[in-house]
Amino acid sequence: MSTKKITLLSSDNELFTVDEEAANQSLTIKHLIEDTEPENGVPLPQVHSKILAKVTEYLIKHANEPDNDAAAKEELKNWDDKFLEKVNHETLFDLILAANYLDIKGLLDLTCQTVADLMNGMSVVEVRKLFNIVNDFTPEDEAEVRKRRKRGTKTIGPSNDQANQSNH
Amino acid sequence: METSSSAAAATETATNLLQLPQDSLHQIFSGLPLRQVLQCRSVCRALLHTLSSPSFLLHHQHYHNTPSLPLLSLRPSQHHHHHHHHNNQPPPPPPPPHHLLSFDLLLRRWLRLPLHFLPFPPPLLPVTSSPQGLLFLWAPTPDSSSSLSLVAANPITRTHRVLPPLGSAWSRHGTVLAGGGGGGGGGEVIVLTEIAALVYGGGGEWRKYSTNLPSKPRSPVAVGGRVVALCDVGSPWRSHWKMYWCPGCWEGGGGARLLMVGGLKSSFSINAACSTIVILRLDLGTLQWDEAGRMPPEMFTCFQETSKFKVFGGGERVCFSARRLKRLAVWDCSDGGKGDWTWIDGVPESGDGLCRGFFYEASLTAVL
Repeated sequence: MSTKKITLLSSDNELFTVDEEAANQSLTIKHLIEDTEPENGVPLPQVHSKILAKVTEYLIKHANEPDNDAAAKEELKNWDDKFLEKVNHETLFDLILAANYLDIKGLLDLTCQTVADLMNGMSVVEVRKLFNIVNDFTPEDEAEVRKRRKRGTKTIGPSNDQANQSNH
Repeated sequence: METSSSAAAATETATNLLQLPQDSLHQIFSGLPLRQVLQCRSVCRALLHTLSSPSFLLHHQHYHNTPSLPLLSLRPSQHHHHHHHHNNQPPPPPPPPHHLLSFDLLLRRWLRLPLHFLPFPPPLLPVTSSPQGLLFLWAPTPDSSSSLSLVAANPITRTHRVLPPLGSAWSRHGTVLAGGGGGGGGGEVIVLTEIAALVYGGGGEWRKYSTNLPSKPRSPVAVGGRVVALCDVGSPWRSHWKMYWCPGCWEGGGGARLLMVGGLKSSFSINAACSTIVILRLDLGTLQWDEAGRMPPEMFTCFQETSKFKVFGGGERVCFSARRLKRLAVWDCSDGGKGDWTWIDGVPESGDGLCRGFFYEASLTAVL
């Protein structure tokens, strides 16, 4: 079987070329090229070249997933870990958006689990800090929290995060 | 047009977690254990909303095979009683918080389960839980200054139901026992007094049974469709305890077993000292007793010196609290065998130095 090439066009008009087999991991792309292949590449207006470069890197690596080869699976898993190792949060979220839009299950699972792993074991305050989330609970909620803290249940470990927030 | 706007979006405003579509957020948080999900509800309003939605809860349940979170929950200490305290001016105790203080038995740390989703003014008084994972609590009845309503709630799915009203005597004198039924939606609950028992089985109303117990029932439990309690049938000079049960309150499952806790003495004389605490198990099918566990001597020494202690249990677990002992002893036999004895530290101060509570299997699947 000859390998057919598919050209992808990013939102900022950059072209990426991958094998059809790699591209087909994206169900969105697969459906787009099923009937007629666009002449100037498959337009992906929601994906910036910076992100599409990462996505195609993933698609190429995962084009031939090993079935029963444990060593190859292990190698691929290590590659996945490295793939997202130095990625910042913003890129990680953009990759989730792209994987969601392009319908690439493997990449979506990988990126979502990576975000979950970042948060695991973290306190409320740490999660807010990690993702720059503003605490938007009302002052009434906060007053309730402070009142509770005064009552002296503060000996109790990690659940104190809520109380600590009033120090901000 | 579309191209330029999204390109601009990528460079100007950084994507953040809360901009992700709901289904991606569902997937991310399904990768976290239930306890972490509960904690993340306190991060901000958007996450509270996302992580409380039925679709998320279903998604999370689908990902995890063990959705229940075994907890030891403490009842807030109550205002009245403790008349024996002779402090000059005891400060008024704070109203019980809108939280259920609980100990996570797997991660071994304390956490607070928020009860803010319940639309009642304080005080909320959690009393017990059903084996299926429902929490039962007394809450002030709206438009009534004195009476309390019994509420069934699931703090994980943030849902609740107010059970039909009861007379105020029931909330003052009754003991709430939950579950134990084999069938049904897990909503069976019973309020027990010396004279009668009210049973709510999901039929929309309370059914009344007479109990005709010889004295106030002590340590009642609901097990295998029956209610079992201890009653003192002795004289004023010497108590004599008997075990009573009220059958047929609801459909019961077979093979139920009951735990009883007592002091181990080497003689029948009244003043003989206990050498340790034993946990006996009664098989309600065969009426055979056997020993389920025995408190290790080094642990028992801490209880030996105390004037008063409290015991509560549920499932295959028993918890011991003693006055002035700032920790709890727990016997856990949920993995079978003779059970493990462990200490739980960091117990908060309560009015009389004793903790009261119940074991609670928090679960996504407990439906009202």
